[in-house]
Amino acid sequence: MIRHMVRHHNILSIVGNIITVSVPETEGNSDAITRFGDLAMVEDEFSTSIAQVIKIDRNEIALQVFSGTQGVSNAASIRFLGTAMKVTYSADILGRIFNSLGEPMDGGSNLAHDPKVSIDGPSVNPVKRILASKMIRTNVPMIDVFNCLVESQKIPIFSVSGEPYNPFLARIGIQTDADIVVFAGLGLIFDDYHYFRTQFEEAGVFARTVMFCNLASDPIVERLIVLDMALAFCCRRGEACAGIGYRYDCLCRCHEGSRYFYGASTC
Amino acid sequence: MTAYADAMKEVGISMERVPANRGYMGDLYSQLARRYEKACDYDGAGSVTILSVTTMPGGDVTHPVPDNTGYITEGQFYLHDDMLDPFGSLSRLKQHVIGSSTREDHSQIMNTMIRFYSGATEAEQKQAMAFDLSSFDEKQIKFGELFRKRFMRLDVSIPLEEALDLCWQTLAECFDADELLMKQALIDKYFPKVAASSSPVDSAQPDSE
Repeated sequence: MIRHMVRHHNILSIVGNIITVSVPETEGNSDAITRFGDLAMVEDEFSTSIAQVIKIDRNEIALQVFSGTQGVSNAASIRFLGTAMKVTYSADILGRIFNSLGEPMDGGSNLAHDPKVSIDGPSVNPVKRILASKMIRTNVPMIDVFNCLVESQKIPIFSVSGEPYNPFLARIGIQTDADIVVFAGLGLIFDDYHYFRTQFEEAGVFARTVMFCNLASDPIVERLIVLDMALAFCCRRGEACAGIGYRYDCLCRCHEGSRYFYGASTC
Repeated sequence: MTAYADAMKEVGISMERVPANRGYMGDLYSQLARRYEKACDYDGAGSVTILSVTTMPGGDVTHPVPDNTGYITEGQFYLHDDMLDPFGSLSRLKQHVIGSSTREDHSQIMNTMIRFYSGATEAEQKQAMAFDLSSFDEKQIKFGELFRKRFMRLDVSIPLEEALDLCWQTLAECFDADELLMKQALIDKYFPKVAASSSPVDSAQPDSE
């Protein structure tokens, strides 16, 4: 507990989004200062950012700062939080919209005190998997008649660029007979984000929907965790309903928003 | 998911990792699989279904992201020109439910519709090159147009049973019962006795007596 209040100032380098900090050596049998993948706070005079441990080399720790290192100086201090990224897991998140750090972005109440689960969990226990046998109705004939969707299926829509997959996904999210729809948007432009939000609201299905949105203006590192957040919630929800007597089926749709153009990427 | 892979690529390059195929990281397949494998039907509990969008840059299905994704997922839908193309779309789990949880004619209708649509696309190719068409070709072309208009367009929204009835309706408008090559029992039960000459797309009613 005390360890989380210790600030480390020995910054070795700041390159791109990555800060390398040197920490004191720990003795063999005492606890490590931090673990791979855990979170840290980078605190500067004017700003505070969350970072994640991405490399540990003896006593040099490399941290990836989610919001980028612009404005971070050598005088910044690092505080290790001792925990991995978590997502809020409670009934209160239905009908809410979260950004890629798990914070509400719909102007509603803060859920800081609700229970949270780690997003970095293990894979599903293979012994607990059963063969798919139930259909999911989408009311899209090309799907229902010719290639029907089944519970627990993982299936992508391979789309040529410029196709109207946004309205299509919104329709499926509204029409499908799942119990909860979790929507993960990766790099959405604001128009698309607004479109999905209003479509769900106007169709009256927002109460069974959770949205995790990484907008195009958000840091690209956060794009990598928003998907895990949505999936962590889905899995906990899927496996938690044994004694309740009805099924929760989470349809998690990973939406790829605008194409992200960066430097040398020519694909 | 292509944006997701691009994000991984950018982060990996800034960490000076060695790039692999087309600049993506070498663990692209594992990273994608790790997310997709969360889809599961839990024994005695609920289920998680994942429907994602992967754009193919340049429409190229050999691009690393759709290419790797194809090995992980249980099929794919192919979206182009505002339509879901039955040629290129496949759900690898549909055989678990078709016929057993859906109507008895689902499997035969599905295969018959595709058979005639395939014939229609071939006939259209002949027509485009100004070759001779048989009368059956003409029927198939008419069927192909109706198929695209009534089923393939993205804005079509009808429940499964109505869609199956609309399939029967469309077949009845284009072909005779003995041209269908389907099980007689199903034809007797579902083939419309009086086919409408041409019904509007969204108010098609089965005409069985």
